Parts: sequence; C-alpha cells; structure tokens
Amino acid sequence: MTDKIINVAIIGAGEEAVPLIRTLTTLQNCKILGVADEKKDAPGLAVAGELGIKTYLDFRELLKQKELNLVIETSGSGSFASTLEKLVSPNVKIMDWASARLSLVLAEERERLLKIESSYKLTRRYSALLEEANTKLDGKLLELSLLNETSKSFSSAFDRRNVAGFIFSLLRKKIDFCVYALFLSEDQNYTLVLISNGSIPPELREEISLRMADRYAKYIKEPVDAKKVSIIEKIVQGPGKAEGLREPAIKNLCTAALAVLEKPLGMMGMVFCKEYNLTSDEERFFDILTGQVALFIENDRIKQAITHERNQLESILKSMFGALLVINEKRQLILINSVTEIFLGVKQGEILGRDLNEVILQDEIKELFHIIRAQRSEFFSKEIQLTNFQNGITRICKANLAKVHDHLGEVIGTVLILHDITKEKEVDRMKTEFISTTSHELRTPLASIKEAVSLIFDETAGEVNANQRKFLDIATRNINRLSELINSLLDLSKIESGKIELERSKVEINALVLEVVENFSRAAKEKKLALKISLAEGLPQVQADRSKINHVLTNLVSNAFKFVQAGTVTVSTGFYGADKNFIEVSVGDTGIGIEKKDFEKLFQKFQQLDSSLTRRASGTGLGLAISKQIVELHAGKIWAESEGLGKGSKFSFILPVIYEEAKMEKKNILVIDDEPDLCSTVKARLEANGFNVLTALSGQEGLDKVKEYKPDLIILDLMMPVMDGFEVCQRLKKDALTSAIPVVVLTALEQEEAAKKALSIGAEGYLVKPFEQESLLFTIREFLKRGD
Amino acid sequence: MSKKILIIDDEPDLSALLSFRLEAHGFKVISALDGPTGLEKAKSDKPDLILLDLMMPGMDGFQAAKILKGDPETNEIPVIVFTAMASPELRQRVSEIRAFDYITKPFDPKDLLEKVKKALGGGDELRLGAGYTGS
Repeated sequence: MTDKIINVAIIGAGEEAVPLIRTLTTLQNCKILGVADEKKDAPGLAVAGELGIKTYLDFRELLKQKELNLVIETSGSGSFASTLEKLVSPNVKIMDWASARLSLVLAEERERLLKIESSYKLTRRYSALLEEANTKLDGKLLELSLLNETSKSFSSAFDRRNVAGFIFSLLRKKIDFCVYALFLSEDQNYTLVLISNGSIPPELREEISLRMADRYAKYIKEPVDAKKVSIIEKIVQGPGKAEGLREPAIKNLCTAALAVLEKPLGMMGMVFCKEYNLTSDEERFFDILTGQVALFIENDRIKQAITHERNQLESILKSMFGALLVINEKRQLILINSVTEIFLGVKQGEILGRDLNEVILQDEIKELFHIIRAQRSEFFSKEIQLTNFQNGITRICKANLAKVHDHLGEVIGTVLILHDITKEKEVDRMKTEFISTTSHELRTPLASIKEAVSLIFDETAGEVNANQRKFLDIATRNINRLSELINSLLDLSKIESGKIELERSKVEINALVLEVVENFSRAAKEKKLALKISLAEGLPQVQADRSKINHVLTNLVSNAFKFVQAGTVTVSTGFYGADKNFIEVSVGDTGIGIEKKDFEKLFQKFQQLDSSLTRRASGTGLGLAISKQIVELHAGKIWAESEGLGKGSKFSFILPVIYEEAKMEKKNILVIDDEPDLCSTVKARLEANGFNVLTALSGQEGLDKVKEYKPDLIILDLMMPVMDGFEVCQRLKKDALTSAIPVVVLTALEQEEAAKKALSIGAEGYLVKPFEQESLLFTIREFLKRGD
Repeated sequence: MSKKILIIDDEPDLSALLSFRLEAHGFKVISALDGPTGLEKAKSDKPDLILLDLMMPGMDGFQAAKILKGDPETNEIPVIVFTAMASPELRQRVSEIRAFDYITKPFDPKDLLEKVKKALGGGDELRLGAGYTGS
C-alpha cells in the first residue's frame, strides 16, 4: 500500500456527490482539494462546507490546483469528461462518478480489510502477552498453593522425616532432580535425610554426605566430619521418576542454608544426576521453601523443648506426694497437681483459672488462703482435716502456705502444700495405746507379787522367822527395782514419742529442794553422809511441772548418794545468766568423780560408768537420760562438772524464769469502731465465745482504754473521723507499753490497699468488711495464741 | 458394825490378796470379777466402799463407774479406782466419773489403807482437787 496521498477534486455536487464526499473524507489516503458546482445550493457544497472542504462555483478554479491527482466528475456524460481532460495536466486522472463509486467501494473494502488485519495483528500480540501472563500467573498460583500447603502442614505436628518427604514431593512438581537432601545439625549431632524415588547407590550416598557436610562446614566455618553424619534414606513415591539415579554421579548440587535469626540449623539441597540449569523461578521457589523449612525446624525444636520442660514439670508435680495449689494475686487458682485432685475430689478443668471465692472447694482450704492473706508474715502452717467431695475419704493434713514474690518484692501469689499425715497420726495413736497397754500388762502382775510378798512380810498372814524375813526383803527390793525400771522405760518411751505434756504451775524452787532433801535425810543418816543445802534468797518462781522437776532433782541426789562413799552432798540454788533469766539448781558431791572421757556418755541411755564401781549402785542407767529430756522440755539445760577421778562431781540444771504475770483465763478484747452497731454485734458474738469485750467509739477513746485496761488484743476500724485507725495503730506501735498487743484492723472491701498499709505500720492482721463471724473468731484466736 | 468393801477387778490374784489384807484389818470384803457382776453386787449388797479396777475387758471401770453414779441406789457409795498408769488425761477422766480417789498399781499397802479409811471416814465424794492424794 502506498502512502501517497491522492488529491481529489470533485466536480458536481449534486445529491449523489454527498455520499462520495463523505466516504472520501474517511479514506486516509485521499484528500479532497475541493468540490465545485455551478449551483450555489448544491447539497454537496453544503456538506463540503461542513467538512471543511473548499467549495468552488467555477470548476475551472478548482482544476487549477497543482497537486491534483484525480478528478471525479458526477455528470455522467462522456463529453464533459473530455472537456475536463483538456483543462488538467496529463497525469491527472479523470474519473466518472460510476467508476469513482466502484473504486470507492473497492477502496473502502480495502481499508476495511486493512483495519481488520491490523487489529487482528494487535489482538494477536495482546493475546500472546496475555498467554504469557497467564502462564506466569499459573506458575505463581501453583507456588502459592504449594507454599500454603507446606505452611499448613508445617504448623501441625510433623515428623522431620515426613517433612523431607513432603518437600521432596513439592519440589519434584516443579523441578526434575534426583535426591532431596536435608542436613540437620543439633548440638554437634548431624543427621542427613535423603529422599528419592528409587534407592540411592552407596557411593552416591557417600558423595552427597561429604558434599553436604563440607558445604555446611564452610557455612559455619567449623569442621564437620562427614563420617559423623548419620544418614537416613527414604524412598518416596514422588511425582515422576528420578531416573538419574541410574548414573550415580552428582552433576549439580543446589544447596541453601537453613537458619533462623542467624542461628544455623542445617542445609537442604537438591541433587541433580544429569545436567540441569535451574531457572530463576525455580531457584526462587527453592529459596522460599528453604525459609519455610528452617522456620518449621526451629519451631519444632522449640515445641519439643517446651514439651520436654512441661513433661519434666508434670513429672515433678506428679511425684510430689503432697497436694499443691497456687493462686495468683487476683485470687485465681493457677496451678494444681494430680494429688490435689485426689485429696479434694475436684478436677483441674473445673477449678483452674477461677476465682477462689466462687469455685467449689473445701471451706478449710479457702480459710487457709484467707488467713495468710490477712497476716503480715510470709508463712503459715496448720493441721486440718480434709474430706474428698467425691469419695468421702477423710485425711488429716499438714498445710503449709507461703507467699510468693516477684523480683521486685511484690506479692504475686500464694502457694499451698498439703501433706497427708493421717498415717503419722494413726501411728501416734497406736503408740499411745501401746504404752497404756504395756503399762497395764507389766504393772498388774507386779502389783500382785508385791502385795503377796507384803502380806507375808508384814506378818498379816502369820509370823515369819528371820530367814524368811531376809528373803522376803530381797524379794521386796527387787520388786521395787523392777517397778522403777518399768516406770523409767515407760517414761522414756513417752518422752521420746512426744507424749509427755508438762503440767506447768508456779513452782518455788527452794521449797521443792527442801522437800526432796527431806526425803533423803534418813538415807543420809544411814550412809553417814552430810547432806547440806545452800539456797539463794529472793528467787522468782518458775513455770514448771512440779512432779517432773522433783523427779530430776531426786535423780541427781540419789545418784550423788550412789557415788559417794563418805563425805558431803550439797544441793544449792541460785540465779544463772547475766540477765538473771534462769534459775540454777546444783547437786555437788565429794564422791568418785567423773573422768573427762566419760562426760559424753553421762546423759545417754543405758550408760553407766565403770561397772566395778556401779555394781554397788543400783540403777537402770536411764535416770540421767530422762532428766535431760525433762529439763530440755522445759527449755532448760543440764550438765555435769568434775575435776577428775576422786575429785567429786557437780550436776547442775537451769530452768528459764518467766517474769510475766500468769495468764488470766478470759482474754480481754478492745473493739475500736465509730459504728455503734458494729461494736455491739461484735461484742455480743465475742462475749458468747468467752471473751471479755470493751468498746470504744473513737480513736482517742480507744487509746485511753488501751492504756487503762491493757487488753490482750485490739480490733481497730481504719475509717474513723477525727483520729483514724492508722493514727491509732501508729501510736500504739510506737509506745513500748502497748506495742506488743496484737492489732487486727477492719477495712472495707475496696480498701485492701489501706489494710496492707496498716500491716506495714505494724498491725498484725486485717479483716475485710463484711466479715464472717467465724473469720473474726478464728483470726482472734490465732493472734492470741501467737502472743502466748 | 464393820464396813463392807466391794472389790471389782478382773485379776483374781490381786482380788484375793486385797481381800486378805482388808479382812485382816477388820473389813468385810466381797468381790466381783467383771463390771456387770460388780454392778449387781453393788445393788444387792450395798457396800460402804467400792474398789474398782479401770482396765477390765468388756465393760471397763469408766463405764461401770458411770452407771454406779447414775443409779440412785448406788451413787452415794464412794469409789476408789485402780489404774496402772497415772497421767494428766487420766486424772481428768477420773474426776469426770466422780471417783473419790485413785491408786496406782503396784501400790503401797499403807497408801491403800489410808485412802480406804479416808473414804469410809465420812469423807465427801466430791473432793476433787484437794481430794487427790495420788502422786
């Protein structure tokens, strides 16, 4: 097609010319130079004018145009055409309307065809591009869906070997390689997992192992011995067949390091046994997968570590033979162990995460948490009885509670541990029973023997001669000895099993000494020994078990008598200690004395020193052991002194003196609260429980009453007008005369902080209003007990 | 008229020995080997004093004492109990059953006679505290 423009002149602008004009205008290679018609109103002229084509009334003018190539005349007469020929240059073609029309139609057609051809070419070009794009998109979609699959699979529990198999399948969908190698390093243990469609020849395996280890070593820059790598091979039905295995030689190895946050985990690689050039797309896909695999492996590692630790913790919790309950600072149960479930008959799922007050739990347990919260100190212990909700089994438990702090010292929770001591209590009870039974079984026949002998001896059953009397005397003495032995054994066994309870009363030591000495005066005369006393004046009374101390003193004096041939036994009393807070009682003798080496043995059971000397002395060897136990139960001490053999000895013991006044039976409690109603209800309740109660309606009144009546415990409301509880508490704690009186503050529910503040200025505990009367009583009893 | 003493004790030996001694001192003695028999004899023979062993099989001394003290026919008779073990708990329990006094085995005959005489000598049963001469 030539690009040459054909310049056209149209002669004759009648009706027929109009379509011609219009059509010509649309043709790209035609330009209408002008349209001529002698008639002014010829329609073609108007149209030409609209289209911006020059119009002429005189056709000769139009024909003068130099560039003219074609003239179309519409007369249809041949003669006109020849006229026109003479007017134009010879290379201008003259065409009549009909021919023009035909040419036009042909030209139109051609134009149309050209357009179609060009648009067809465009479409082809576009569709080619589209096709390309489509393919790319498909590829991307495949990638994405594969990645999606992998990440889903990775997030579930997936064995590492299965991972390798999975990756193999994924990669094989896109890339034609032979073996997938996954090299993992874990604490100097190296594993190589090889996945392929067929079995891998050993030399190939070796080579892969060497190369992977080598590359990994280069990556972490430390030597990795390929022989230390344990190889795991797996054959997987992957897509396609990795035929290259038949010629086992690595032609190409594409590897990528597996790492998370710069921590090396291993390497993965594709082994090619034939020539293969990876496209950038394939490389990128492999890369993305590598990242995924690395993340998966690391996550798996972390999961395993967590599982391991959790299992450890669970084992520890399981093997604890105590029940464990932990609450956080919001009073929610955050941890219980399986033993707790057994003791209480609850299930973890039922109570974990729930508030202590709302959950169904034994009252005794809730009470324990309540108490430790209301007190200042960190620890609390109590024996409680617990019954399982489900099976009704009752246990006696020792409960130990402790507050838990974070590194800043804030209380973040409380731990409760319960130990089942039901068996111990049972054993205790059995011991007591045993002692009582044995006691009876031993003493009853002895009583009969003694009485029978006695009846004969004192001649109630008739006269006895001298010999009979002698033998009866022997019998009596040995009965007494046996009786003493039984007593000592039972005493000792009672003491050792903790069964002894001291009956304390106020004891005048000097008076006691005189009593005991009196008992020995006859024996002293018989043995021709001097029995002296040296008693200090003004000794305070001691709180002691009179009969037991009597026992100790008697033991010491009787020992002195045993080991003295001739001489003196002296019993003395006096103060002991710089602060005079002990009373000392000593029994000294001028007897055989004690060697240094024997001092240790003295107070041990069944020890007697040097049988030759003691053959004359009777005794069980238990006396001093028992005395030691008794003295130590009184919080005292017992010891012996001697300069050596033949130089006599001195046995002493000390007992603590308590200067305080004896406790009154009824405790006095002072309630300080500005609410008269509260005062009266609390007073009524406490009095019903055996306390003396005083009340005060203001801080000042409270302070006055404390000074006047010296109560044993103070209940103090914090919110009071004029002088509030804080001030009262501060003043009480600052004054030495009142600081020892336990103070329990009362606070409203929203003001626990205030209560904690009170604890920090010295209050012993707090109760939150509204409180149960039981809590009040319990708290009061606890604090009163501690004061003792 | 000599005083009558009832001994309730499951040990026949001891019972025999005690009877002998007490009779030698001019008392009349009847005995029973268990609680129920003892209670019967207390009602039928109306003794002036009962010596009661605490540890007996079947009905023990505590139960027997409770019944004796609960029965208007017998609650006036003073009771002295025998026991192998003295302890604070025991003393508590003994005062609960309103016994006159207690004696530990093996006993001192002099001690026994003293207590018997005291119990029969118009002594008040309810002498708790001061009434206890046991060691």
